[in-house]
Amino acid sequence: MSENMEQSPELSPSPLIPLLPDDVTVDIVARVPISHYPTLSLVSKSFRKLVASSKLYKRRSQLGTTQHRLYAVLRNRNTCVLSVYILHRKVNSSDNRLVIVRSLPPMSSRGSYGYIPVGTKVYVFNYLDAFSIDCTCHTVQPISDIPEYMSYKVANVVDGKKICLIGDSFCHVVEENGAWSKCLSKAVTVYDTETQTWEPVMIKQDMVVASLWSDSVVMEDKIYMKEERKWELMDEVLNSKEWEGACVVDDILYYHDCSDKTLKAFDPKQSRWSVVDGLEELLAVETAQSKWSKAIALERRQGGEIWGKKESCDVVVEDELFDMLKCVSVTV
Amino acid sequence: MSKKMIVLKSSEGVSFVVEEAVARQSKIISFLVEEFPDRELPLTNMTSEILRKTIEYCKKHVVEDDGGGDSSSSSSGDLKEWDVKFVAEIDQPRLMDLLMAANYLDIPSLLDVTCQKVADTIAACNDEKEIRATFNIENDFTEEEVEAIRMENQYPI
Repeated sequence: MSENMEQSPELSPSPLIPLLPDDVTVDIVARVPISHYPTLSLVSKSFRKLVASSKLYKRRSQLGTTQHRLYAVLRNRNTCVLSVYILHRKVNSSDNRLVIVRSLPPMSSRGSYGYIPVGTKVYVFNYLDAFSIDCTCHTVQPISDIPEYMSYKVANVVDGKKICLIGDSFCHVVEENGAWSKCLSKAVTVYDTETQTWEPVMIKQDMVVASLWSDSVVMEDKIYMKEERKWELMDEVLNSKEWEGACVVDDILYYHDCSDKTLKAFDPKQSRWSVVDGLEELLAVETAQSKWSKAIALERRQGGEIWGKKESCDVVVEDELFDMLKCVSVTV
Repeated sequence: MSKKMIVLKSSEGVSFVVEEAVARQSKIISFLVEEFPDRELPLTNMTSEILRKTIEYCKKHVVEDDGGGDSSSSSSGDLKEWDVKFVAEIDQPRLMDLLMAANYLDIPSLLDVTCQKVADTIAACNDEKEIRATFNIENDFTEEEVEAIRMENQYPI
């Protein structure tokens, strides 16, 4: 069925809803919460095409009805194949389920840790290539003109539209005797998602980057990353915690501290850590084997105290067949 | 100063006398009034019932321009509440007729509220069968195809 995905709804022989012009139906469906789209795709063939058409998502954007959709990248432990899943909330219930995105080609699991959401797209950078996934119609577009070979280690969005890539790059150096030699150096390059152009690679000899893909976050347009269990380029207060697997919301870093089962928050403006209250019960029951999906509504109370409220909590991956590599939120 | 009136005629031939300012919320009527002044406008694809409903909506939403600043009869919050009630009272077939009238006459705000109401109706359906039944959509999937899509929507694969 996927070969018809690109066909626009107007080409269907009969209207999506009898007697209604299709552009009106698009207007209606764009207003339906995205969690109902799997059900809508079962209504008829033309509805199935519609929910996979970019036109619908353009309309959602125009109407301001876009929502966050969570994507999870899972790796099958036996086959090492990577698959992208959408976390769908079940219709008329608060349960979540993972639905595989079948239209995407198989992806290399080597170094495929850079999944960067920008707008309705997710940009993927791995050892072999770079491409973007359009999360409206779930198609892949290659990113061309990669300036030169780089093994990316850290990828982050800065300025909302630009992806900053940090990693290793071969560069030529002139030695004392005048000869050229090739060496692997730390390098930084920036890909502008709007103009689809690359900025020249900058070699940063003195930069310290972890030897493996490292966790990093962006707060107030500064990149914070980790090197050998130490966090570089940041203040000591932030350095004092092992905040791996953290996420940043509105320039505040949150991470789940497994040692005392709390959600901790760091505000770079105040340069201090705080514990998000109200989640003790939720975090205390978490088990090591299950991949949990949690949506936590954060509320900043007056006086700067941050409170958390559980919005949803489900075990979505119960067996141990899959590893969750990355989870990204895309607005569609 | 007397207000300029125009006449709209339904498919049953019933005439509705409406203030021009009220009717002009329809971009189509606005255009027709300019092109054919002093003529009654036949709306052959709209029943009297739907035309009456449409006029009721336009009357509520008209912003009277008498130079006195904001002279809209209701505040926007009240208006929103009124809109919700307005579409809530209409049954499904008539809602679709009203939506089509809003689309045909090109009344953006009425199209907005009716589309939203239909979207809410879709969201309230329990499954695809209920959606099909509500909107008279023919199921063109074979049972095998439905099963295949259902399998895709299951975890794990």
